[in-house]
Amino acid sequence: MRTLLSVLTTLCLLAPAWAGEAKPGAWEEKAALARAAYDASDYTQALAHYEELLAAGLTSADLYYNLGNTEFKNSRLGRAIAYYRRAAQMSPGDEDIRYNLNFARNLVKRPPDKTGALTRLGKTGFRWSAGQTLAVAAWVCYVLLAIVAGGLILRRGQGLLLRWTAALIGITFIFLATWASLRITADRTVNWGVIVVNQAEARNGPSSDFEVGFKVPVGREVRILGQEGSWIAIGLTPEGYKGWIQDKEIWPDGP
Amino acid sequence: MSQAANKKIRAWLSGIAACAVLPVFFANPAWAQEVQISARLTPQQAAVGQPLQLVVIISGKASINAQPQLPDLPAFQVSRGGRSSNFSFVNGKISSSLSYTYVLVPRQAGKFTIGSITLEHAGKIYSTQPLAVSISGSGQAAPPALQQPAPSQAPQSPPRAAQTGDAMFITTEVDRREVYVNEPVMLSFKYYTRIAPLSQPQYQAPETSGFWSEDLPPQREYTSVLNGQTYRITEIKTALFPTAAGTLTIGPARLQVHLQDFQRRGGDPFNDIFSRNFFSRGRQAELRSQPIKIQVKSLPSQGKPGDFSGTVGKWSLSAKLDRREAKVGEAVTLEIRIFGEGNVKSVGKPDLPVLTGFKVYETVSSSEVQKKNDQVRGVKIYRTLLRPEVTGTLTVPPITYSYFNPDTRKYEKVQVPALNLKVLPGEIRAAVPLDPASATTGEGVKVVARDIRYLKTKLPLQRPARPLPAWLLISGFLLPPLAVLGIWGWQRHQDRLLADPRYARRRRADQSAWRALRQARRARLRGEGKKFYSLLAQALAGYLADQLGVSRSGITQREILSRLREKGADEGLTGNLNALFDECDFARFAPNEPPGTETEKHEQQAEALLTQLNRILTRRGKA
Repeated sequence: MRTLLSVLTTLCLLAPAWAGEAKPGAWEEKAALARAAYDASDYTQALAHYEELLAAGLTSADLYYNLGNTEFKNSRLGRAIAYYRRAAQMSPGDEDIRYNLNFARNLVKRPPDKTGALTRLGKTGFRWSAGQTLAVAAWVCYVLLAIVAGGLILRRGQGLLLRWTAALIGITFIFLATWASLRITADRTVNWGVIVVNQAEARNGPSSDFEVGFKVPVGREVRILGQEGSWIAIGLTPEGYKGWIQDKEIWPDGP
Repeated sequence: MSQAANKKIRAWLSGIAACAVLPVFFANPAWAQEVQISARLTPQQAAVGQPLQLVVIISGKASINAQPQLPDLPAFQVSRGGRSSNFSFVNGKISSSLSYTYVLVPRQAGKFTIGSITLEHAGKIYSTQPLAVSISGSGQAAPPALQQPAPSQAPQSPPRAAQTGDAMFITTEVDRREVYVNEPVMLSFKYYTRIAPLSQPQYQAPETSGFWSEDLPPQREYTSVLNGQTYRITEIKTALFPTAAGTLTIGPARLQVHLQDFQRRGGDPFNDIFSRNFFSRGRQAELRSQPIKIQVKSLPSQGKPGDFSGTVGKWSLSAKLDRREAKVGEAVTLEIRIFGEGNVKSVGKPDLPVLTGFKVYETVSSSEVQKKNDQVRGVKIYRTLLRPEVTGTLTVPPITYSYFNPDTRKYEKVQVPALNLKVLPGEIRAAVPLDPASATTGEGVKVVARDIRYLKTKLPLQRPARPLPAWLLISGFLLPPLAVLGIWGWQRHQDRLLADPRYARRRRADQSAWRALRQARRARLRGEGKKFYSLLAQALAGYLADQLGVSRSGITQREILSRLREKGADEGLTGNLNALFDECDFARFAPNEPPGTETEKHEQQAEALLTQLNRILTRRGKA
């Protein structure tokens, strides 16, 4: 039931563009200004324009990507990675986004990832497509399955080809629906964030009274384990460290 | 060697010195430059029993290995002190300087002349000018050089005087006893002596575990008057940096001295000098100073900056790039210099800001320590190799460095402004080889500069769509199974129609009855009364026959009514039906056309009956 619900809610977000557009002309102007500023290496100005577009609600993978580029050029590695992550989440198949995210990631010093090749492949596969795309694919399968089932009834269950097709589509539907729901649930559970200040001091408890346990470099992607007021518990996966940092020092995933 | 032989040699030597060597010495300045000998006596006035120091200095451009020879000095007790040498290598030539120290203790009062001191070197003999000395009388005959001081005689005796009496002692002193971690403590070791030991004293530095120790050369030597006595003082200074908080102890300094036991030997001092091989019969003594406790405080935790790396002192920061312009991929060195006062070697690495657009390589450090005016100063240099990866103006953000200043007892922060580097494109190889020959060499793409990819130029300037309405979603998921169910039901219905003729008749009964009723209405409208009633009766009777599963022709009105009663029809319904049937029969078989006034009423009655019958019969049928 939860699976179905999440797929449904995703479909809600998927609706094609029948939303009313207020001032597309002004937005085009902003986008053009931002690009001109970026080309002129005035990244602060470019950033301001892109942020205005974001504030206007024009959320898209491409906008997040451009914001990431601008922050990168603005020497703010943490924010750049946070934006790229959002872009990649919305559009996992985009080659440019993936390239720039990896480019930025390579500038962050971190211990070598000890996860096995198979696990990595699994993780990459899981992120291969956005939850919304998967949900649509699952729905298409659902309709196809209904059509094939109707055909089978009309043919009185006869026809080997039709039966195999039905089985195949049925399995595909179950697979896609499960994947979509897991993906959407994973996206909705914000459990990753990016450190946006250099050498963020992770303390041993959710207050500045606690001692600093370790320092995290800017741009490091960390797991979010919990929150107490304005303090966020983070976990560093390969090292196995856990500490508390202030919420302004981290950008969690999600819009 | 017998005394007679010694005297002969001395006579011979002085003869040569007087007759041959001196004229040569003065006549040939070249020789004088090669080896020089001089003597110094301090003080030039003394009391009987008060030791005098005679220093003979031999210098020259060659390595000199000879011993100076003292003249006959019957009025003094002579003991040989230390020998120190200093070699330097200037312009490819060795020059050496030797100094021999003798202690002369006057035995009697009067004015004396110390004759020429001679030196034999490379077949030549060199000598010094005679020295005059006046000794005041005190009646004390040949007092020992080392005397245990009576407390009353040395009221101003310095603290921690060592145990060989006031003729020779050592002290250790510190400039402060309470410091912060890594704040320097100045330890000065002083060796006071009025007499010369037989050999160079062996200094053993105090135990300073827990400290980072930094020697502060040079070793200073000076004379100072203490309690009316002239002492020769040797001072060694050391800066100590405590490495941890707590109480640390500077152990005692030790000095091994080798003294002549004058009391026991006495005799002719010249004899001693000439037979110095037998000098080992002197007395060994060890001088010790008191240990010192130092209280080391840990640095305050209040206001400790995040980037503080434990550096204490007074520091400044400078940073520079070794060039202002570079091509992509060329190495650029970022040099950060931290300079000031404190323990240079413990200066920690500054946190580098994030260097976007650069590939950052390892940082190497070097330090230069300067010890001047008893302070440890210096510079620690961190050099980081950077390689710009993108073109444009790259910025190294401001670099900050925190340290603790023990004078102000506060953490202080120094910062250098951001540095800019203009990065020009590297040499770009033509994508299409200009030379066709090189196209076949298989040389791959050469990466010149790596950078992030460019912006997305076609931004989707639309707000993300509003959520789909719930009804659309629900129907999107409900319609397909409903359609499947519909198909299934329709097919089942078709199958039954084929397989079950009674079912088919009953399914068609309603349809054909209403069809007949419509025909009847058309007949009524055309004014054909008989046809109207005939069709009306046909519709009702046909419907009932179909529903009850009997032949249309082979059933009587009575039979129909009884079957209807079985199905649960009430008397009202059957009565109305019976009446209508009668009306129909009456009108059909009457000779005249039936009156048009009743037809519409009867049609409505038929429709109502059909609806009622349909309700009863289909319900019953389903049940």
